[in-house]
Amino acid sequence: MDNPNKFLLPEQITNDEQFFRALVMHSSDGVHVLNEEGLITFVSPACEKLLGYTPEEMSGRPATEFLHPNDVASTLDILKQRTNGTFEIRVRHKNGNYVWMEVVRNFNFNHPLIQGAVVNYRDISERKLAEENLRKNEALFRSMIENSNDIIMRQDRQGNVKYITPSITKIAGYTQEEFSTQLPIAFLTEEDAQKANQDFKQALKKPGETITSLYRLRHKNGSLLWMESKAVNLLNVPGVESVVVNIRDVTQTRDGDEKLRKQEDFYKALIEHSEDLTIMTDAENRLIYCSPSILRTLGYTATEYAGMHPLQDTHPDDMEIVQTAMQQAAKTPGVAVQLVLRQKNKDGHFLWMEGTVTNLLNTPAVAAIVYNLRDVTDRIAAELKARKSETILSSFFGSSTEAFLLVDRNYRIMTFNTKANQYTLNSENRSLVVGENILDALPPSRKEDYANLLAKVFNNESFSFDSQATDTGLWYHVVLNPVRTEMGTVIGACFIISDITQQKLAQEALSKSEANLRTILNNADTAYVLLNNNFDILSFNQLANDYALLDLGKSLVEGDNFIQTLWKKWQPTAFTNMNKVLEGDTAEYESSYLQANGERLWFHVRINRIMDEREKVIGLCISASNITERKLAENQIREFSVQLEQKVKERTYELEVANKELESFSYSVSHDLRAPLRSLNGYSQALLEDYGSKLEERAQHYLKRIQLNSERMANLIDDLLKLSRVTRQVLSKQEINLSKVAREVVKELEEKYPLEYTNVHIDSGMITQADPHLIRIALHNLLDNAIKFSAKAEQPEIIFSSFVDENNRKVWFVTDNGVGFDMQYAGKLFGAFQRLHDKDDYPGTGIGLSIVQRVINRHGGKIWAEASVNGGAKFFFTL
Amino acid sequence: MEIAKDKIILLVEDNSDDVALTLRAFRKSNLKNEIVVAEDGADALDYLLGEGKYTGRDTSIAPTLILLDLKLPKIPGLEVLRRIRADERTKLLPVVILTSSVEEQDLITSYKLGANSYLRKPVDFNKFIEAVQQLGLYWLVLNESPPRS
Repeated sequence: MDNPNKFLLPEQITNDEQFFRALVMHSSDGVHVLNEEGLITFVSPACEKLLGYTPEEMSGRPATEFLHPNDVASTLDILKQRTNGTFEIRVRHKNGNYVWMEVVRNFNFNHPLIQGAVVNYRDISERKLAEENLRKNEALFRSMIENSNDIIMRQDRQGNVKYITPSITKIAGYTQEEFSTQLPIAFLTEEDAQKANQDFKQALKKPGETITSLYRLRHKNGSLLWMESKAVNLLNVPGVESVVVNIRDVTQTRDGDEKLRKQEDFYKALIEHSEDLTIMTDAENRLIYCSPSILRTLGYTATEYAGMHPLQDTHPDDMEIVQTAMQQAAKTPGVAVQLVLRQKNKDGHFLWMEGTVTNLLNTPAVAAIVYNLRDVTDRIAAELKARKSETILSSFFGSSTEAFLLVDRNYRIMTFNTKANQYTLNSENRSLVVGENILDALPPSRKEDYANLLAKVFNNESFSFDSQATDTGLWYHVVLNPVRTEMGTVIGACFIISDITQQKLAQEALSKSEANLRTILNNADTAYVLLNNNFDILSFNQLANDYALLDLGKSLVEGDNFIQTLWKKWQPTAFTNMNKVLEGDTAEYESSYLQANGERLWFHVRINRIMDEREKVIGLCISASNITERKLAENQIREFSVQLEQKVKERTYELEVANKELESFSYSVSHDLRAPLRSLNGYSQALLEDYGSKLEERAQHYLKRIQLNSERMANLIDDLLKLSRVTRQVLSKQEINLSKVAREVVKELEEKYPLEYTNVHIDSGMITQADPHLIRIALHNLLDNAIKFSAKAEQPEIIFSSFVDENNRKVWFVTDNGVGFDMQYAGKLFGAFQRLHDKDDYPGTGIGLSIVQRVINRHGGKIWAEASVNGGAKFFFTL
Repeated sequence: MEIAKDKIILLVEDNSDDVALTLRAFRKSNLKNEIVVAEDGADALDYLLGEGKYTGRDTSIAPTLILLDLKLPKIPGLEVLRRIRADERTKLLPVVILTSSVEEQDLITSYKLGANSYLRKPVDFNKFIEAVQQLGLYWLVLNESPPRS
């Protein structure tokens, strides 16, 4: 009993050898023992059941003879290294098929009884097949999704990223980890983040509904991408339990030439195997034996476990399975009944255990119920994960905005999603059918092209191209990739098709608009040069180049440093100025250049910052317009205005001189012309007084005529001075009540004329803007005339009133019913000293209407008259 | 009505015809006062201040009334008025402007410089006599002269 693997057995088990032999012989697992040369020295009965060979056929043969050629090398390696543990290898059945076996090796060369490697194996083909299928499906979906230009993201209810396709890196530069550390909205522009937040809440409220939006996503390099997002709340879909977001970069049509991304070994974690756990109980479920692997599986030492009730810690949900299996085993002694259950380990965690239960109560050597279990927790977890992943991926597949279509090597359609059918419908108007030849589903004109392409794809080539549907005119981006098995064999082709009509149209519009802008810029009469922050030339228009040729004698070159392009002496100033503009200053100045022909060219130069959408300064725009003509015109205007000012000064001086002369003239008239008249009058009077008695009556009359004329002359001089004063006086307008002024004038005139028989009618409230002094003079003259010339009428009548004429002008008028005048002399009416009537009947100098006309003219108004002989006169005026 | 004969009138007038007619008008108005005639502005100031040909004249004997024409040779009438008002000895003397013009500017300046009255000589000689009568009556009879300094 020195073998440490064997522990103290219950009393009734007396013969070790017999006990273990029974165990081995009745086990459903095959057991071999290999010697140091790798030859099979022992074959258990189960081996024949598993592989079809009789023990005789196997004994003495090298174990490697029965292995799949691919597994030989690794097996030899294991033998050589004598590595204990569990392996999966393919073993050839007698019928020629390879069977997947899970193998546990235990090298016991030092054991006195065994002296070899104990190989314990069981058939896991079924499981392997299921795994393989799962992996294949998963790989297909994964290949499709990860080759997609879309980003697919799963978010939990809080918006945390649970998974995001690697395409995030390709499109936005972030690694999956970087993107998953924050909420996705953190990568959007601030305003879009709010929108995205609302959209997400919306999605939470409406499970199953697609919320489509457009956001600006910040690329890791700082640029902004326009992303079209389609979010579906699948939180309630079992296996998905997340908000699935399909994100597409619509910033520009991307070059589809990108190779398929390297397949990720997403499911690296395969089922890991643990060593078998063997438990034996009696009919009453009391523990008889427990193998040492109990420590590695459930964490108990065998001694600890000996005191426990076997399977007492089975998961409650699995109790029924266990009961059923036990009942089944009880009914069919010797038959291994499959069993999967969860068992609590020493730490209190449930482990998934898989294995068999066999009723060997009737087998004398054993007389026990034998449980053969292994820990499959990791495998089950991986399986669950894979199943979940597959569900998710297939949900992506169905709801993707891209079309997916798989064909096998015989061009038969294996599967396709809704979009694929939709895109095909566009051209053929019929549904795709699984199993039909893809070439028959395509438009006939494309058949040959695709046949050639697919042949190359089956030869492991990938393609990516844009294609326009001949009938609908829609544009598609087609990615065509081989579908490979894990071994790398091409088993089909995968089409990924996206509708890029919008992008194409946008691109066309963009390039058209770009061309238009370029044309405009090249025909602009302003020169433009665009620089980056290092002042390297990014772009320039035709005129900028023309100016460069003119001034610098060389063309501008994109990529050259603009400062270094300039004349050396300007470089430091230009550098300083441009840096200032980068920092936020504005620069605008005029500069000139003297041409070889001696003519100076003038430019208006402006330097502006260029900013991107996030207001980050990304360069400068220099614009220069030729302002030579304007400059010349300005200079001319300046010259003209200097000349004009000079002229105005001269004229003003002349006018001042003339005015002074006029003033001194009137002054001297007023003083000097009157003195002789006074003398004439005075001396005539002296003659009459001193010598009147000696003069004849006729002589006295003559003297009186001299006196009268001297007075008339004095009046003429006075009136002439009044006229001149009206012209010279400064006009100062203010609000005047003409009615009031007229009444005052009439009152004054009452002292001069007897008015008791004259009807004077003056409208009240006639108010206007005028110079109070001058307007009084005018009204005085008009009313004086009216009274004077109507004095002889039977019933003199004078009216001062107003009306508004057809031009909406206010017209005032003074009428009388006096002698009037002949309209043929109307032209002479307003001339100075013009008289239309006898001065003895109607005394006056004939200056009155001249004065009135000057007053009216100085107010910017007009005066005119209507009259007839003995029919009265009407004088109209405006102001 | 008794008019004091010892009151001197200074007539500043360059036109001899005007002088003659003015003197006639005084005469016709029964004004018997001594009338000193100055033929220009300088002459008038010399008389008033005892200078030039009037050097040594007793300037305590001042005219009761000065009749001043504006348009005068050498020193114009308004300047004469200004100097009369500027000198302590003469600044209180009544000055009546007697002239042909009624230019507004002359009127304003005269009163500003301290003229006591402004009279325009009418062409009608009868009216002139009437005016002189009124003038004499007022300034030589009714008006109280300023106290002698």
